[in-house]
Amino acid sequence: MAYIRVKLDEMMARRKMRLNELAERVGLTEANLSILKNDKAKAIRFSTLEALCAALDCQPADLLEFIKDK
Amino acid sequence: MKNNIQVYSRRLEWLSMLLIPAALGSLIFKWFFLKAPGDGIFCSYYARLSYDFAMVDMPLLFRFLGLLVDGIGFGLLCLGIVLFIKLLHRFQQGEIFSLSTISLFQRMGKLLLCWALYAPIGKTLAGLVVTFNNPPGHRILSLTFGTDELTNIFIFGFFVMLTSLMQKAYQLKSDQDLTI
Repeated sequence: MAYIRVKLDEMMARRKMRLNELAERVGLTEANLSILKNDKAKAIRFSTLEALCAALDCQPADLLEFIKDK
Repeated sequence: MKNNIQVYSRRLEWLSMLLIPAALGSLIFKWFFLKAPGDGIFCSYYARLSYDFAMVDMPLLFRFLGLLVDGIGFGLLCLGIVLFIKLLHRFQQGEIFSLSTISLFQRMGKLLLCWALYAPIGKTLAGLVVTFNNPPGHRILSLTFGTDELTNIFIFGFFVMLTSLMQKAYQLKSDQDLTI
């Protein structure tokens, strides 16, 4: 099944940022960030995406990837 | 501390558990021990028919048939009660709005709707079984479909529709929970 992958762990690794630090910067709970990181989320708000891009200094395309059906 | 739902669920669970053997007892009593259809409180329907039949002369086979015909409706109702007990058990565990409770509501609604649909057919068959041994011309086959039956069908139909709405609401809630 095709899905959108959130490449949060890759960006965090590049920026050498830990989950608790990112959670504090973005203003989300670690639990919610984990849901996002593990591709369990059903939707993402623009405000969250905006905050993530600001905290990680990246573009939305750096965080999201479309995985095709095999 | 237990909340109101848990306290009332426990009481209702006990009441529902008592209801099944009581209803089963009344069903068996009705078909095997009652002498005449108008004798007891359980036979108000047959009393209303006021025909000159009597269960005294009913052969055992027909009593079993009567029990079977009534038993189908009773079985549906009992299954509904069993599901209700399961639901109350979940409520006691603090599980109020989950996928399994909604599924129980849905199954209960469908069973009760089947019961409401079967009720007029069951009454017709029971009337026939009771009067089958009467002399020709005194046997009854009457299908009653009145306000009582329609009200039951409407209520349980509405209940089934509500459970579909609950399922949709649960889906929206879980989507909302997973929106970050």
